[in-house]
Amino acid sequence: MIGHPEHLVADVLDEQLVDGTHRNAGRVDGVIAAIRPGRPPRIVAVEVGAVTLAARVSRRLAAWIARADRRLTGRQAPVRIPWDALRYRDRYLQFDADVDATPINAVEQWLRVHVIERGRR
Amino acid sequence: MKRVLQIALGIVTSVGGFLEIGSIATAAQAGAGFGYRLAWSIVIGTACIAFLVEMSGRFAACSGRTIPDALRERFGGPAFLAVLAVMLCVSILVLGAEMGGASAALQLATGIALRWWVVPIALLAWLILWRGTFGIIENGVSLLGLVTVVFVVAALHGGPDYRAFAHGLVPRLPAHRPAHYWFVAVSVLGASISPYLYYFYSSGAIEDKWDVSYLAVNRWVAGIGMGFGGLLSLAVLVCAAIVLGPSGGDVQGYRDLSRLTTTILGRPGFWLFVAALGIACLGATLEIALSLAYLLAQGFGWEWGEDLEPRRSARFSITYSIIIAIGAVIALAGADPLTLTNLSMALTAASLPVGVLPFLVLMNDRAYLGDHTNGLLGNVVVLVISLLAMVLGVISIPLQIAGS
Amino acid sequence: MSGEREIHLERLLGRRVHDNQGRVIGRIEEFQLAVVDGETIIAEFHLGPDALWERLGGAALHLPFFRSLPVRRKRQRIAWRHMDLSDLTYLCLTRDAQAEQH
Repeated sequence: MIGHPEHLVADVLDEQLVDGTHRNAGRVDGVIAAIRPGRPPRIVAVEVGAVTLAARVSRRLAAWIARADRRLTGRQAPVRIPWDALRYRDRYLQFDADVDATPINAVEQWLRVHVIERGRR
Repeated sequence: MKRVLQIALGIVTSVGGFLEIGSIATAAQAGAGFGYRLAWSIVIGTACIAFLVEMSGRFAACSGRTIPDALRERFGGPAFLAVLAVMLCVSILVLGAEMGGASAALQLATGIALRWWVVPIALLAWLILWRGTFGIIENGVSLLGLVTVVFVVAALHGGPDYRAFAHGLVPRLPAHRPAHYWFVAVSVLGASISPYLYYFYSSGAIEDKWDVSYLAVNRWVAGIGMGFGGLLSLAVLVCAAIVLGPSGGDVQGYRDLSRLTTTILGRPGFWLFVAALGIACLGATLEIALSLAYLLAQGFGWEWGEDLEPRRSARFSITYSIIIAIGAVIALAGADPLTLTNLSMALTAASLPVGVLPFLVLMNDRAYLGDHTNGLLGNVVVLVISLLAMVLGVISIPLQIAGS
Repeated sequence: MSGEREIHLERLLGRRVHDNQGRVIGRIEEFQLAVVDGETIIAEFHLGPDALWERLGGAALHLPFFRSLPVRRKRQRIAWRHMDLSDLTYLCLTRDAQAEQH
């Protein structure tokens, strides 16, 4: 992580993510930490996606969304962005990759290909 | 000079966008059932929405953010989902009512039954959103909406009892049918203080790239624009008091609504009413569908923007498409359109604090607004009116349902 | 690394933390971060008497009206080494934290 957020809830969780070209790339729906005996918990990644968000409200809802997501996009697990790939800005968190090259936009791309562009042809 | 034009355009569009089926139907019921006695409910509803719209524009101009964006960031995912769920349920009912209203206008014009018009209206609304830009929707549709000024003309022509009207501006207890009186008052409040309106306004300010230099424009537009809008609602109430009031009746259907202007202005009055109803409801349909799509897209951090091509904001575009489809299903579902309107307006009022309270918290947060946080007056007015609407709604909705 | 396991921090929000008598000290509402040897770590867990109220009404609590309300705004900071995360369904303080408290 470049830049130092002080607080996890206030500065990181639920913040907007943007890609290298400043396109919106979802929000920080979850944060993963590694627990290690005798050493402080280390932040390893953030998670993006409806499944992670839903899990904060209801496990059943999350499982239901995860099934739909697998069927639609083939994603097996929520998308993770390694902590070290992120830059902390005043109002958002940024990563370098193009969001379309990541699985974050899988639903967006599925809709683009199967609904919007099919309608054009 | 540019600023003056901006203010003028802003006022015109907010006047044109103010009236919709909710305001027309509830104000007409108030006038028909209780003469001028419920005029006060329009006044306080309008004051509240003027404050909310001003706040919403100020928030966007100062922080560069929309309300849903800050809502998610400040209160976290679960709280955002709760607000989203309530807003979706209530606003989609309102959307169904608006699509019913636009279809009713076409029924009045052609004699062909309302249900045949719902799908064409849905397709038209969808096409405008899919192909159009934000400017077209904001300016074009709202400019056409100025035809709703016909109600003011009719009200003045009808020779209102100004004394009784002035009396009606002061809230008082009902002389008869108290349950119905409060239910109509709540519906009027819900129709005036539409949450989608001020949520929409903050997204609009971002789409139009507002900054702090727009604060004065924003104040004028919100104050005068909403003020004139409220005047239109009052005009509907006056027309109803003059035309329908003496018969002591209720508004039974859209045909009764068309009598408001037709009785006073004759045949031209009828056609102007049809145009006003159709355009106002179509405009509201567009605003609600967009507003809900903004809410989802901003809360979930998607690409969004009415000016982006659908393929560049696929989820955003598909969201408003699905919302319009659901609205059409509700409009077709067979409920009497006026009943649907009343119910959705009362539910809007009862659920107001869900959207308003977190918004007020944001409006007092210096991290977003710097030195431009709310003053005491704005906080108190909005807090008191929205809590009042909720309390009245929670009490009067069951009474009304039990009574009917 | 052996013994390392991953947890979702967002799911700890609002969870109660207990002392060794089983009394609730508060709910987790914030994590204080720090950078040590190039790693971002959780330095402290912040607990409040009512995490939800703090998180939802944080800004409102600073308004003139609310400032005068007798709401307890106690916030406890628990250092990472004092938080026992071995059972996520029952969060409590470690033994040495209890010893330090007495």
